[in-house]
Amino acid sequence: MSAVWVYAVTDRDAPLDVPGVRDEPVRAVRHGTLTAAVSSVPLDEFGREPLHRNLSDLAWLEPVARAHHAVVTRVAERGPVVPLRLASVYRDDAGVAALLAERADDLTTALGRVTGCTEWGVKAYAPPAPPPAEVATEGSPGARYLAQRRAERTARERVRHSAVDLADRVDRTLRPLATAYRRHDDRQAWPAESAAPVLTASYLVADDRRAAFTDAVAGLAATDRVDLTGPWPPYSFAGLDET
Amino acid sequence: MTTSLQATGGDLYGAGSQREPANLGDILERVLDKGLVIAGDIRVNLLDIELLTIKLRLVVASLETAREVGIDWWVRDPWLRGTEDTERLEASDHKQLAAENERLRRRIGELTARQPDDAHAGDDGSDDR
Repeated sequence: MSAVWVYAVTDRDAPLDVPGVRDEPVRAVRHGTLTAAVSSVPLDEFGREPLHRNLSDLAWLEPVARAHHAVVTRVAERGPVVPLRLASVYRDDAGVAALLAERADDLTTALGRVTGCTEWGVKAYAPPAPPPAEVATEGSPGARYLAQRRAERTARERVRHSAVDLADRVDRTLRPLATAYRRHDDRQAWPAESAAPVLTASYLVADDRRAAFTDAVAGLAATDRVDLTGPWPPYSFAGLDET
Repeated sequence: MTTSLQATGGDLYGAGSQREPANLGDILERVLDKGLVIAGDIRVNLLDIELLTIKLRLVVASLETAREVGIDWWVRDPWLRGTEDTERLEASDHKQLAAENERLRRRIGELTARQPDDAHAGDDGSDDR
């Protein structure tokens, strides 16, 4: 017995010449102007219980995630795409067609939003903290200790400020070049000593601004560690209820 | 409706523009955490997306760390060894705490050694009470 894995929705009748999850052939389920790229998956592996278990197994997850991404990317190469979250499994094609019918307006709007755009991932990292300076070498041990602590605190604050400045500068530079953006990082949670990025964001960039965008990132990366990934299908901009 | 399709800009995601094959961590970050979740007519359904997202955060966090130090993280299963990864993540914190602890012990030792003098001075002061 099998179920139906959904990769993405598009408004193009794209050729689906790419193997899906578990190398199953990808086929189209259509309703009106919308097409869902789907393939069959066995229920004993992709039913609720086994799926839940399997998703915790990175060795199982990796090929599935790569296959999902490959199909989404293939669809995206041919036109606008709304990628579905991994492991969107339906009972049968009729259920997928019903979904397309039910959410036709939302899906069409979402597709319009990402038409002619790709997603770019940007992560900015704070410069590593300099080693704490040995400050006072004279005075009482207590005074030396306090001076030392004060110097450390100041250094930490300076690192923190420069990190926040970097995040702001990156975002200010890139946002005007993007059609839409999402910040994924939580600034409040950012600890001063952590190796975590100070900015994690996705930018939806129109194809005719791609060069300007990547140039801008290269400019930022000349002085700071700013990592760029992409182009991605618009995973971060697939929401139906966003403007 | 069968509108045949011209490939629009076949190079959009092609080898020409991709610097390197996408990193698994970057892919997981997107296919697990982003993408459209439709709560509509999902019959067979899925999983608890929330739980999956929490697991993902652990994976991605350990990926970041692993990338920093160049570990082949995928040879281990971070979801099954969450505690170990957490320890690894916090190892640098522990090291810093240990160093500070050591410094404070030294400090206390020095101050204690000076204590008699200081105490004497204190006694002198207390005579004025």
